[in-house]
Amino acid sequence: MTEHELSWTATAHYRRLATVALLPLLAAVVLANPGYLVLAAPLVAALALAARRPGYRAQVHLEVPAARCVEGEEITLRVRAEPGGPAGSLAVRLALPAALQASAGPRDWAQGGASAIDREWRITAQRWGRWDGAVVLTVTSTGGLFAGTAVVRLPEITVFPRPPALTQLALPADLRSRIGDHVDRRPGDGVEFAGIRPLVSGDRLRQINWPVTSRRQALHVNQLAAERAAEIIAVIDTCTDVGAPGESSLDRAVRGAAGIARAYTRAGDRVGVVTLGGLLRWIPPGTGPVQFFRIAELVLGARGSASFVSPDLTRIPRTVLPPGALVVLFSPLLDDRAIDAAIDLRERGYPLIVTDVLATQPEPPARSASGALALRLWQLDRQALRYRLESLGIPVTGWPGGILDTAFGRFARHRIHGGAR
Amino acid sequence: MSRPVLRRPRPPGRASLVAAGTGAVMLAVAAGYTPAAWPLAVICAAALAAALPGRWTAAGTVAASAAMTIGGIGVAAGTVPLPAAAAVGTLVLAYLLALDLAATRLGSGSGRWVRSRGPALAAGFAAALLTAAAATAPVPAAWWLAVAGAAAAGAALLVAAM
Repeated sequence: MTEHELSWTATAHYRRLATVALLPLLAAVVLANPGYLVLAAPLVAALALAARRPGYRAQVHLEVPAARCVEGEEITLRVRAEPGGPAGSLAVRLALPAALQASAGPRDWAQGGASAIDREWRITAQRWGRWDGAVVLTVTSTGGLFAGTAVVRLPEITVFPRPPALTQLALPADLRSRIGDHVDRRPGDGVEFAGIRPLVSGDRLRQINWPVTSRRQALHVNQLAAERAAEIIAVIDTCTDVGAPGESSLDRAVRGAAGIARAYTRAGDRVGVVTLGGLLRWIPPGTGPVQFFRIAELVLGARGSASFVSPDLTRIPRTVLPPGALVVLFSPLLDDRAIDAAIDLRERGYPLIVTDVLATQPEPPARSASGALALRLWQLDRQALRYRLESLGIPVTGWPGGILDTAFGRFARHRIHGGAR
Repeated sequence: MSRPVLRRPRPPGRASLVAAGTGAVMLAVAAGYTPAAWPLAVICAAALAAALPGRWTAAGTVAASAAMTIGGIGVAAGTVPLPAAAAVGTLVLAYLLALDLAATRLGSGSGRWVRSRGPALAAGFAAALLTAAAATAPVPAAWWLAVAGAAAAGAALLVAAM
């Protein structure tokens, strides 16, 4: 329980009583008729009985068992408030941003004549981000003439993006020399059969392929493919954010990056992330579930990091963007800076996939021929941009939301090649 | 584009109905003694109806003021005896208390709330009767009476400020 100062003000009831009582009081004085005082007496008596402004404080206890969740999950919030003196009524109101919805019961609750109020809410997280909220406690004095208000801030609620499913993993042609789960073209110590070759010094006897050896009359061994890990860098374009809150291009981009991070870290690959706004922020590639949460923490800061400064990719260290890593750019392709960054990455030899996360289009005025024409030109311009990128060797895929396989399934059939053009 | 959310008007709650009922009694008593003030009675009734949904509480103030004015006209015209004026004043207070109950929109504890306002209503009625009794007593105008009144007002202000 923490003690909170109450800010006391006159209530609307006080003002109503005073206003209505003033009429007959004035009439009694002006018209010198004491009969009017009889009309005003009940109101004046009610005002006089409870005219003292209380000065006590209130004890408030907030309990949020878990202030971190994933989009769509529920958080329980319990509030217990006790005024430090007699109260006519107690009310608590939950003030939350639109991204957090109180899922059960009304947001405001009042009860009369109690010594304490106890409420529990279940809050559903609708949108990723770091969100602030507050509980507003209102205590009215016993006569109802004064109301004391205290605003108690909730702990910051962290909502992680819900990663969409991705099962068909796109891979770069050049896998790094780290042990992993993906079959490489190079021979190695994996389990996948890669071919047969004559025995050379140093080969193990258990690798000898006896049927081939007996046919060829010379010792031959089975050759196995190496199994390597991939390095994936998800790049989020934060230069522009268009669309309805919750389904905006940045919301989709961040969810997509989270989906990439989860799918590849589960497969034992190394995943990193770069937010491409005026302010470049990154996490170098890493593995494991901890890396997923590192990435999720970083992308939470993507909202509001838009700037007019052009991102300088040369500032990104080589450890963050290792050569040969597959770069997946999530962008609405509306800002030239992001498009230039994509072309720059491709020219530097990175295998690159651009994911178009724009799910809206301009809405021309109804029954406007020029508006419809402008929309058509805009659509043609988008098609031309995609064609330009494809001609530069940058595959562009659209992701309308849902599972990521709809966007990346076609890249799982073959490896993505990089190399300078 | 998201479509605007249309909210269905909420039906008046039980507290609003109680306030409207109290207001109707207040209007009936006040207008019953002063039929000549019917235009004000119409305004009062309209304000009562407007305050019923509980969204425009200023209408309640208008209704109470109109009832008070009707009572005042009756007092001036001599159609409202002083005990009846005390009743009108108390009914106006009761209506304003009921209006406050409706505006507070209590989720629970309405009974406790009503009981806590009972003393104010009783004190109001007693004060009105006392004032009525004092008003009927023939008291000659005197300078000490004015000084005593001013002193009482000052003391009341001091007590309220403490």
